[in-house]
Amino acid sequence: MSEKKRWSKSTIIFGGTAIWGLLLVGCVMVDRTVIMPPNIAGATYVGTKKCDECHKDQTGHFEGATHSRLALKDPKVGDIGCEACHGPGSVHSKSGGSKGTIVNPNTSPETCFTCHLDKRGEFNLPHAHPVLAGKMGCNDCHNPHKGHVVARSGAELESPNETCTKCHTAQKGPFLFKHNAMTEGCTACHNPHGTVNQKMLISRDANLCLKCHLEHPAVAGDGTIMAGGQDHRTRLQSGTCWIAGCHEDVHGSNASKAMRY
Amino acid sequence: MHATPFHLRRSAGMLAGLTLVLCIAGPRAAAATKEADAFPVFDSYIKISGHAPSVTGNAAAYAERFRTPDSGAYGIEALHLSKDLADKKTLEIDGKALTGAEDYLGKIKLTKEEVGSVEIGYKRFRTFYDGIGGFFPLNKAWMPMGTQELHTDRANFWTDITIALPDKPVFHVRYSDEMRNGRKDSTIWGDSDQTGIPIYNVGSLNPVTADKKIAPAYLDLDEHQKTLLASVTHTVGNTELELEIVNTRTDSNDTRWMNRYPGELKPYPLLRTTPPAFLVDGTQANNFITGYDEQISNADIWAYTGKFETKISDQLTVFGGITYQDASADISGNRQMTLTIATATGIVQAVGGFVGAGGRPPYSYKTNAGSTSEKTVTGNLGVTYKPQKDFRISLALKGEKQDMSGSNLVTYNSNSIVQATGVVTPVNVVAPNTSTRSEKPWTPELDVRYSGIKKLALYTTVDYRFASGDEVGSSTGVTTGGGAAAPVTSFDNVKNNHAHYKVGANWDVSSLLTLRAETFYKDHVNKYTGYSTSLGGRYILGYQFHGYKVTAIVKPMPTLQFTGRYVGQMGKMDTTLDAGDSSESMDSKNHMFGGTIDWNPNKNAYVQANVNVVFATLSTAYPRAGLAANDVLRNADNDYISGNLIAGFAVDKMTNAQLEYTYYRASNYDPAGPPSAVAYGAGGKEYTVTVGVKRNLTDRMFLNAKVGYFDSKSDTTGGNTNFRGPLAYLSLDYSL
Repeated sequence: MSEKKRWSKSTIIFGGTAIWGLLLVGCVMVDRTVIMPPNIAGATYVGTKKCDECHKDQTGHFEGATHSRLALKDPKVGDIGCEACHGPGSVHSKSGGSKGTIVNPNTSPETCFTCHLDKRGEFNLPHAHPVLAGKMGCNDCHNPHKGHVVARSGAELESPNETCTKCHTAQKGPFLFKHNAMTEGCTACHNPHGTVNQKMLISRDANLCLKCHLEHPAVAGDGTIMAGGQDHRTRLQSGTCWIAGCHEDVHGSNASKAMRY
Repeated sequence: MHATPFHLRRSAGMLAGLTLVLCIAGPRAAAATKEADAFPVFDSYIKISGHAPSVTGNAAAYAERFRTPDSGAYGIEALHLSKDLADKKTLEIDGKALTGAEDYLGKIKLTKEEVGSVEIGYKRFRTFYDGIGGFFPLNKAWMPMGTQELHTDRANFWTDITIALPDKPVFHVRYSDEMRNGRKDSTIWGDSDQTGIPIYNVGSLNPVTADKKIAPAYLDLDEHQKTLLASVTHTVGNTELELEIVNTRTDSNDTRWMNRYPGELKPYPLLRTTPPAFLVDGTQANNFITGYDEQISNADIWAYTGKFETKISDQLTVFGGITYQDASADISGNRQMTLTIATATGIVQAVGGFVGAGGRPPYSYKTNAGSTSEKTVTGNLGVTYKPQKDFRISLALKGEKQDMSGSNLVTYNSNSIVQATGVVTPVNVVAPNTSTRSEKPWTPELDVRYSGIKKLALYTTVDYRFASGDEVGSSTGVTTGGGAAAPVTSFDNVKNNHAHYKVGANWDVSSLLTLRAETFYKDHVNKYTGYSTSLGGRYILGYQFHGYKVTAIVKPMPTLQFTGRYVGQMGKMDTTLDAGDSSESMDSKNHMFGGTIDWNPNKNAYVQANVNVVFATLSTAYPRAGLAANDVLRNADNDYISGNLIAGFAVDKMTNAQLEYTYYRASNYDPAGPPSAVAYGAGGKEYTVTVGVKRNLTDRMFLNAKVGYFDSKSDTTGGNTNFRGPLAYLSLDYSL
């Protein structure tokens, strides 16, 4: 009841008018540019060659990087591959590389969200890695300057799961009895950008496990939920597959091949 | 009474319209005049801030969502000091110290041009958890965590030295000590029969179990990872070389605490289980089990890597590398689950307690000796060929060989309880576990890019991982009655085939429109075929996913940009067990629609609006299971809408204002599922709104003040984690 009062039409109308009023004052009284984040005031494009002078370690292998596929030449300044993400670099260049004069996507994921709108939405969800809180950056998992942006995939030397286990060390193993889902990668069960479910799970119920473990029933539609050769219908009435007393050690076990403990 | 009079609405509308007209007209007049930047970038600065919410409702849920405690946070939000010293040296100091949020950073870096750098730093931040269990809507069953504050701290101390003399090899040494400890929640929830579902003394009258796992659980974490890395890179002629040695020492000691059937105790003498029927109180349906599961691992990993990249000509580059990794770990476990049970002589508590030959002990054990060893050799070799300036082909092959072996000796400690006498008899079973695995994957990859057509870039990537391997495992548990079970040994040949295809284009149609599109397809088959004593056993998992990503950037005028993006992913999975037929195990669909508007109505103002709408569903047993099984599990829907709006504008020459609004809603909670299941679907709604001003107080000092309001409601927890309230934020930026 109190919320209805707080957000009544009158509040919205007059609150909105007040804000427009402030804007009015600003428009009439102010002769100043307000910069929309994450842009840099007064900066113009200088081209990748300028960046290359100081940041050879970042630019040297960019040609083979995933994101270079998006870098088309600009007819006026040539290649603006770096500035496509870092913003115009003239102020940064003139200042000798001063901090705050260039867009740094690692501290401001807004740059990445310019194209990856879906990731902004996912990081906004209740269960997400703390990128929006500034505790980590996109670069902690993705290297936009070299190789695959989905790190360690394809024919790259490193193992894909190292992206996650470098921080989540307890899941690294090796376990005596591994969960073979780890072969598919952590993303078989988790969306690292964020989900509506706890622990960033792509599903919070038994569907998560059954997608790989649901087996053919004796008779189609016979009312069984077969997994591991057993009917789990009544067990699933109590909850998920990984709840207490069931298959608790989902990442791998050192005592139970069925990952019960 | 509360209806707004029409004339007031009209006045407000006219005022707003006038404002709009003036604002759009404003920049033309202002454009010719010299601009003043009210908020220049400081080279060195300190930012002191305080954040104070006033939370009504579940404070722990607030802390988890906003990543700060309900008591707020204050301190140094950012410190950066940059100073050019003599002899081409630069000193940089970065810091942060936010008390409450327990967010700290200290970093010092000294760089000397054409020599190298030395850096030392420490970083730590806290993550909060609400510690909730499940909610059962029938009787609104909700079990709060208790008074434990749940949070984990991640910290990292590092030193980093780089020596980079001109035209000499670059040496890099880094030592880091990362830590994660504290207490966090777990979704391995315990049982409760106090769920409002009728429980009769006659089992056949209970078609739906009252046992719902909704009791919260939590984890104590104590994890350390020390890493020493040494590398050298050098360019010899047209060849870049890199050698690296890494030693990683990982020590983890994590303990999961669980409560099963809290507050429950079966009476003794036992309730009659034959007719006539009567209702049993939930508190008498089962026996309380509480305990912990501690897993310890001390791993020592050495990795040796060599890489090269040789530019043979402007058209041809060859690259490759090899890594050898040797990992060994001591593993141990200590799981102690204590049963509380009524007997003729009183209440007895016993670790791994069970009754009679048919009783199953809650697994309790200690690991006496255990270790694992894993050796991996990985190599890759590739070539990049550019027959034309705008045409690039890269072909690479990766090969791996991984061998793992491990064993341990577990002692199950159970206790047989005779309720008629109260006598408890220990039953200890020594059980060995062994495991060996080997795998040889090969992954060829082809990457082709072409940008020879004006304003158009085309690309395709294909990789195909095929692996053969072998898995042998033997695990030994305990049977009902606490005795030693026969070892379960399995022998499997493993075959993996993972294919990935991707095709995309980036097209600058005009200065007004940019289009990007990509389609992908994944086809995986994982096949486990039994041999030896497992002959005849078989498990095949196959899946195919395909999807699309389409992005359109429309810029109808320099001050206005629309970005729209669609990401769709559809997939199906199938399983085959033993001699059975293959059957579909999953069907999933995920559609994400995103949109962003960036608008500068004039140079004094900007508006950014973002929205994401997602429709996602994952279907397994439902509805194909049929009959009563369809009441147990429905599709997992993960739909949501989220968005935010930011509007900023100049209030006067020294003041900016900003309005921000965020919104999230998910409507996947279906309380109609129970009593046959636990309702897990995420449902809830939340918003935050803040209004702030940033004012230039002096040439060297800014003030930033915000006030706002937040409101979060959760259907999934029955409203038990709702929170709302006002918040205030104040910061001062000062140029050093």
